[in-house]
Amino acid sequence: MILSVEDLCIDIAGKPALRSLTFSVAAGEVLGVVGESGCGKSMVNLALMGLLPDGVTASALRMSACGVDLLRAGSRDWRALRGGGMAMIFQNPMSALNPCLTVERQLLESVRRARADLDRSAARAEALRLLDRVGIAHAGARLKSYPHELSGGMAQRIMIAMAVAAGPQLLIADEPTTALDVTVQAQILQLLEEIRRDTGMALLLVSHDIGVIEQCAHRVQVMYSGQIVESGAVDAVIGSPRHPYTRGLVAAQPGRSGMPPKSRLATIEGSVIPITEEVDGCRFRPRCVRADHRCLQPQPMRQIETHSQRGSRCHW
Amino acid sequence: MDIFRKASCRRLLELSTTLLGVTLLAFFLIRLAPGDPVLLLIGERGSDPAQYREMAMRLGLEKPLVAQYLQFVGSALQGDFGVSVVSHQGVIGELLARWPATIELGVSALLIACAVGIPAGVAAAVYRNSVLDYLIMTVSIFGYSIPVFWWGLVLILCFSIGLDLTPVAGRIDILYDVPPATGFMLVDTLMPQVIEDYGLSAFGSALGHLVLPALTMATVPLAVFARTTRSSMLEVLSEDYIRTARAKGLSELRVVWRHAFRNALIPVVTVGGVLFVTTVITGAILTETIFAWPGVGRYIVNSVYARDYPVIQASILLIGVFVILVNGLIEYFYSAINPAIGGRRAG
Repeated sequence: MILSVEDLCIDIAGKPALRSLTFSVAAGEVLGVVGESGCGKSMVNLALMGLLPDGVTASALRMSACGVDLLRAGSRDWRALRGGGMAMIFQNPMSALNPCLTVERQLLESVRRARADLDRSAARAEALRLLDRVGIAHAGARLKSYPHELSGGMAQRIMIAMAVAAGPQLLIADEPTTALDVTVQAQILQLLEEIRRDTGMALLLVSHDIGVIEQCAHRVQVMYSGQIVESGAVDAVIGSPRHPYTRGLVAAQPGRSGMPPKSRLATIEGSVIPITEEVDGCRFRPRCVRADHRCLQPQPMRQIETHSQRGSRCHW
Repeated sequence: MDIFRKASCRRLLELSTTLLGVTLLAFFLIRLAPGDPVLLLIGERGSDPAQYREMAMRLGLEKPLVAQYLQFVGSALQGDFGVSVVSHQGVIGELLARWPATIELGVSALLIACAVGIPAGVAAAVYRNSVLDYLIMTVSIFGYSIPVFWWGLVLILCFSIGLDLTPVAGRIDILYDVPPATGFMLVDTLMPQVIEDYGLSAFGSALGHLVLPALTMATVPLAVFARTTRSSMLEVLSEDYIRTARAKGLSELRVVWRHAFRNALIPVVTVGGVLFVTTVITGAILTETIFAWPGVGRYIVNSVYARDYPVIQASILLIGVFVILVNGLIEYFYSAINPAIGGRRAG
């Protein structure tokens, strides 16, 4: 396992926000994480990278990535991991690049972190190769650009180039296409898939768009209000969702086959409970159409089929 | 290119309007103030109407105000600012002779303020809510609130009178005879001839004389630099690209100085430009008076006492031009730091 997390809890300002997350990612695998805004997806990513903001703390029974015990990692270990085995790309590529530095300087920084042995011209050649790899035309000219001269898609490609400079074993992609338009979104997802296939790195792909996950991921876990509510192979989870929330998500997709034309799009009533709010029993209960007295009890993750790693946090 | 020309045309129009406003203020404000230059010059003899009229005519003050104003603007446009009522010397010559002293003091003060204030602000931001942060911010509140004239006197009391470390007033000991080459005492005392005569002791004396007034002047801008840098750094440190830099595995030192500092500097440069103007001008007036520093500030104060209208008008106008020039410079720095503004590399 490249990444293995057991019972990860994250507190925001002392209040529990994310509750006992357990998951793992194998080498070369794409794990999709899906859920509404505010369900804590990004917090998990930042915790995995050791980049949680002030006032947010993480604890876990076990948390390891690329063979490093993250619970015992000092700042030196974290830095080695971030510039080496793990990398991350972000939701808004335009604001994720430093506006005052050229693409060259930002990219070379990553190249040099990964390959200290390269001299100046070799590092530059490597930067050009990376730009070429992520599909940027006129790479030489682009090196001289500042971020404000790039389009969103180009900026995300450059973020990807920086992220894969060190040949990471795990790439965390936090809503990598949310800020991009749909055609560019497809290109970026395809690029990620190509790089994954070529290098064998694992991908933790976070999105609020279940269509993106369905298209790219091998396994998926659905998050709701700070918990994983359902997990399993993509086909199984999206094909026959067990948890009422997952069902709602799948049903709320426009253009899903079997939907009669001009029919009303299904929605999930209500809105997500803030993740720091305490709830008795199941956290989805206030919005669940099937809620009954049993839902007043906290729902543990239930194994659905013994061999498929499939689980749902619902008694139904 | 067309946009560029349009922008500079608009710029020029703005500039002339501003300068026109400055001449109006310079001319009428001083005439609104009580006190009559004629009476100040001829003293008791002013009770004689004939003598009074004669002096007023010599100063050109007998004409209607509007005529006087038009004459002032007309000559100013030709570079003629008239003659000092007190010294009978050309105003421009008098001002230019004092300008280097003021600039020398102002620049030294601002350098001290930058060199201490900006790193202090960065430290306060990086270690926010720590004892260090509270300490820096508390000290800077004091620095900001201290009245300059009082602070200058306290420094004199401590360092000049109490500890006898620094001289009280002036730019250099009277035993040194330094020929004015540039007007900047620190430069002039390093001229080969001066070094031949006195070695480095003349330079030391000039430096010693500069320390206290520069410190006095630096206090307020130092505090402002520290506070501006801190808030600007705090804002930048929460930006997405700082998270990216950390995610790349860069050291915290590199994240702070290479990725955050340069971006944080943009508002600091703006504030720095404004501070430079206020430090040099308002600071000069108070500090130069306390330390008997022979610069423009003290000259203006003395001219106001003497109701020396031509000198006051010319000084205010020159200060106006100076402010406009500095603002232009700030804009230049701005575009040099922030590529998105200058647009010089765009395309």
